[in-house]
Amino acid sequence: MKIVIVGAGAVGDDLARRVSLRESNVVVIELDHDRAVKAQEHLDCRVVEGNGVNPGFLEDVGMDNTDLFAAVTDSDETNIISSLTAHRLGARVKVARVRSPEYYRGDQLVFDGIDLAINPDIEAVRAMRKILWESAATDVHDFAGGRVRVVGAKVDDSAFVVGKTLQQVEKALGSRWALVITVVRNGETLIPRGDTVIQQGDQVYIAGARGAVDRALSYVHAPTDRLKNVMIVGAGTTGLELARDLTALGVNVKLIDDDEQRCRRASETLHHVLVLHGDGTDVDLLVSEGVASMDGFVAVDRNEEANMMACLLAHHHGVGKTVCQVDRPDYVPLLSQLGVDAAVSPRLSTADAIARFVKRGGVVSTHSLGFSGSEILQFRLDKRNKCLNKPLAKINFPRDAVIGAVLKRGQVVTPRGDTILQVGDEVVVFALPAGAAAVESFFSQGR
Amino acid sequence: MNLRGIGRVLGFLLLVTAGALLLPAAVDLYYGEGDWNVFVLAALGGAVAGAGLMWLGRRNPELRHREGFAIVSLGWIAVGVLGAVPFVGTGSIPNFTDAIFESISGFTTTGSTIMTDIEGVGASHHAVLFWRSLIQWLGGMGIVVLALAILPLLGVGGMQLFRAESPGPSPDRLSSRISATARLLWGVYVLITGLEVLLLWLVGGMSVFNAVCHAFTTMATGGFSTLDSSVGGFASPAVEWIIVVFMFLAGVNFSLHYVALTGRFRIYWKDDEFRFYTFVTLGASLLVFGVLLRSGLIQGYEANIRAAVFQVVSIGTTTGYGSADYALWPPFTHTVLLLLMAIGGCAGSTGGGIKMMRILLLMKHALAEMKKLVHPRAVITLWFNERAVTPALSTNVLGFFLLFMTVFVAGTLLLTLAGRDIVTAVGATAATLGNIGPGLGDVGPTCNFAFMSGAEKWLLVLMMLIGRLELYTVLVLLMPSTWRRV
Repeated sequence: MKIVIVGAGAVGDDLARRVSLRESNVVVIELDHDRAVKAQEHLDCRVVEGNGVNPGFLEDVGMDNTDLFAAVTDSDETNIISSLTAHRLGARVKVARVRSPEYYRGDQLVFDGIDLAINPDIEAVRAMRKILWESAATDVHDFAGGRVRVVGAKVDDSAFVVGKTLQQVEKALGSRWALVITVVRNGETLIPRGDTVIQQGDQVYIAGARGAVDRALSYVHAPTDRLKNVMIVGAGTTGLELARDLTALGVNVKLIDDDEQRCRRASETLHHVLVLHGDGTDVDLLVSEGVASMDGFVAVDRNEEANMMACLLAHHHGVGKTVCQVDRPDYVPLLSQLGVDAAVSPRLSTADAIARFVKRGGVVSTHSLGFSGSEILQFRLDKRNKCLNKPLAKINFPRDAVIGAVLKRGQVVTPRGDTILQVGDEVVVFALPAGAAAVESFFSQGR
Repeated sequence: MNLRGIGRVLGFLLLVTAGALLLPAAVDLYYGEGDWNVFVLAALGGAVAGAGLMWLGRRNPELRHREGFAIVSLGWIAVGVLGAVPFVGTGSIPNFTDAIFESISGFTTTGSTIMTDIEGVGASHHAVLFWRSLIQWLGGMGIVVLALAILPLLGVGGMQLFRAESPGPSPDRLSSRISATARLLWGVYVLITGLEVLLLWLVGGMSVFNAVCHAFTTMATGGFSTLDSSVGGFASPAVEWIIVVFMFLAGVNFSLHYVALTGRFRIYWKDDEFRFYTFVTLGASLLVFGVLLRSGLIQGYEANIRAAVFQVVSIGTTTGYGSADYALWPPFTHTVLLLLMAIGGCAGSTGGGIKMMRILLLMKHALAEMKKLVHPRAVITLWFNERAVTPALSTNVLGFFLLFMTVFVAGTLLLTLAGRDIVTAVGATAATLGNIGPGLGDVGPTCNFAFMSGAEKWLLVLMMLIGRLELYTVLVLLMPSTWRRV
């Protein structure tokens, strides 16, 4: 499979790193010399310097045998023209990163020939809305049209499950409980077993039918009040979209930005939002605007460090839930240790969305979990799979991976040792970085 | 200033008015009262003057911003003078100042009158009363808008003219062409007027003549009546209710009527200004009704409700009809009515006053200032009809309010200087500046303006023009820089 990526900026870099783990024929095109050199140094793929809009150059790179063409530079126009050129030259699947809403009609890009348009801001807004709405969750992943759900949550100090082994919890709660597929403790991701003891501050991921997961969540994290007041720092595209979204759901929103021009624009586009001109890390401002009584606090400013500081301040003043926009993976482990509830990265969600589009043997959908490189994958089983018609206990499943849920004719089944997989079933699998490749080859065996 | 270009458009306005003068001539021929020659002569005079002006300006079609104001202001004066000619000519109003007062009061849809014996004039001069109503009807939707509708010749600068005459801070464009917009507005206006004529005639039992005259002055929110005791003279609840409904409609933005006529009736309730207008009208009616009921002046619930609603709608929409002598009502009702006089109708309606939209924006402005005290760092934008109000528009509204109050105070001061008592001075200024008609005190609903001196009448004529053309259009002509060549 040949993959061509235009732009080695934050998104292109991340995308190239992820796809080059599995695919051998990945080409990155970058105009800027320094960036190209840097990308060549740390990426395990071919990097060529040149203009991704130039048809002659693209022809040299070879479009007619390209399976996936992704244009992810910072410029919408470059991405669009580049993808359209690739389309003309015969690339198979074209993906463009386009942020301006003007180029969209509904969810669809107005240009024919581009198969998928990714809007990182919108992706981030969706993720943030889910997190805010599921009061206890730190991240939420939906599969199979929302029937299967994987939710991450931080274990409360007074939660029912603290200090118990998973076996004990299962015994005590029975059907009110769901499957724990992974536990993140002190920045380390482990696959739990029956004797794993849940500790306070652990982040657990629970999988299963949507309702069951939501119910199980209440034993991990005390349910908080309905979302009523949210403060957002940063009136960029993401901040505006999130504010519009939450207001439509009936939430009171206060939006802070330190740029007067952006404040004015925000107040002219959002009717029922209180727009405040000031610094998101200004404690006086936050306190006088009642940060303490907020149910949610979201920092989506351009400056990542400022976002983190703002979230820490908000956490310190007792905000129920803080969400921070960060693109640098190095910061993420710090955030959860400092008490910030969730981190969302537009860059990661963009790469995620594109990677999800790269269909591999039987994979229906993938989600990356946090920044650890762990993934949740969804597979559909066809008749060539070797694991069919055997109880799960006997199929010799790869280490570093775990089956989270099985979908049999639309019914969600919690996998047990005696569950038997059949043709047409779908499975949702959690895999550590080391296990992902093994899981994929396991489910594509016999092809 | 392109004086010849101005002359060209003024000439066309005179031609339009001259054409209108032929209608009362026809009415006179029907009644056979021998006034037709006066109207035809006036029409001829107007036509000659108009054609001459158009000929002089034939090579200067280019109009810019400033000319727009000059054309509209001077045009209204020219048309007002031409409209006064039949009053003098037929001998029904022999005095020139009085005739001008009556004519301008008509075109500006004010409805203040100096006629002491309307029914007496009507007995032998039907055409004069018809003309009085017709000029209100023409002035209601606007003589310049009518000219734009008839002839798109005004072409360049059409929007300037339209804006200078239309009431409200920012007129809506119903079509991309100004002439088409003007035609649509006039079409809606004619349609609703026709409906009212039918209802007054068939349901209200009026004569056709009275039905037409009253429909003209209702839809224009003018208020001239063919009876000395105004609408009350018909002593018919049905007539009063019909007129209440149509006065209310006339006080609404006509763009809304147009949209509703295309089938989208929900547009009314979606409009912030319409909701505010309805709320203010209902609230004021309730207040007046309560006080009236307690005073025991009128017998019966229906009569009390009708009197209160009629007077509130009549004054609130700046029509100025009377169904009862509110001068005898408790003082509280006078305060309510005085406030309504200042507020007036909706933007884009035929009503006068400050306009509902401006009051609403002012209130939102005041609320925003209060919000700023609680949230000192807040960046607040005013919203109107789910749209952000530009800072330019909100300063325009603030400026308008300030100027309106200044003109109002100046008018009151000058009238008290002339020796009027304060209630009369305030009432007369409000009644003319707001284009209402009857005021308070000596110029109350059963009185008229005949007793005033010539200077006072000219002052009030100026007030009517300033009020109808919404201050800026007239006042900008008083600034020397408007007249400079560059």
